[in-house]
Amino acid sequence: MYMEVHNWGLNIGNVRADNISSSSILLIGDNEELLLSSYFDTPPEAFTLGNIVPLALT
Amino acid sequence: MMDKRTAVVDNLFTNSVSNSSVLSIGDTNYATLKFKGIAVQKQVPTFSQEDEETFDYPLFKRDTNWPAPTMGVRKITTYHNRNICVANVATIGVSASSLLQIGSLTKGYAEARVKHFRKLKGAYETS
Repeated sequence: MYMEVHNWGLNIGNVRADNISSSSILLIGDNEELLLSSYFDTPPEAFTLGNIVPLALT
Repeated sequence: MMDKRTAVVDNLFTNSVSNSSVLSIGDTNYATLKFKGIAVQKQVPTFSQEDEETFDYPLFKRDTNWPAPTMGVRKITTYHNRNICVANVATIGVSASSLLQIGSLTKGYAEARVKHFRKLKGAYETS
């Protein structure tokens, strides 16, 4: 894939984030390579609160 | 080397930077973030010695499955204006091994692992 980028300046007004947590990154600037991975393990009771409703009927 | 732009931030407000987090102003070449957490939720929120946890669970021992690197992309960038201007940045908390970076970050690897416990009253009445 061939990609040509023309940067004519980037102006942002306000950025407001309540909380940046658990290995998250708020980056204002350039980046070349960013890899994020996350694991979580919920207890069995978490599944008894009702099944997970599909968002869209595809 | 990657051609970098300049980040111009007028106002930056952060209430707290805690739990091995970084607020970095300026260019960074390489960042690796790791977070291991155990979240214990009890019906009766009184915690005692027996609720002490250790990190020797299989979840924390598995090796990380980084997303597979995609095909190479040939990119040509022309900078007509080298500034990234942000007027205000406001965050309440930067916590749990996170990074707030003003400036470029060439390579970043971040990994978070959380194990949740929900201890219901009477459900596991051990003798």
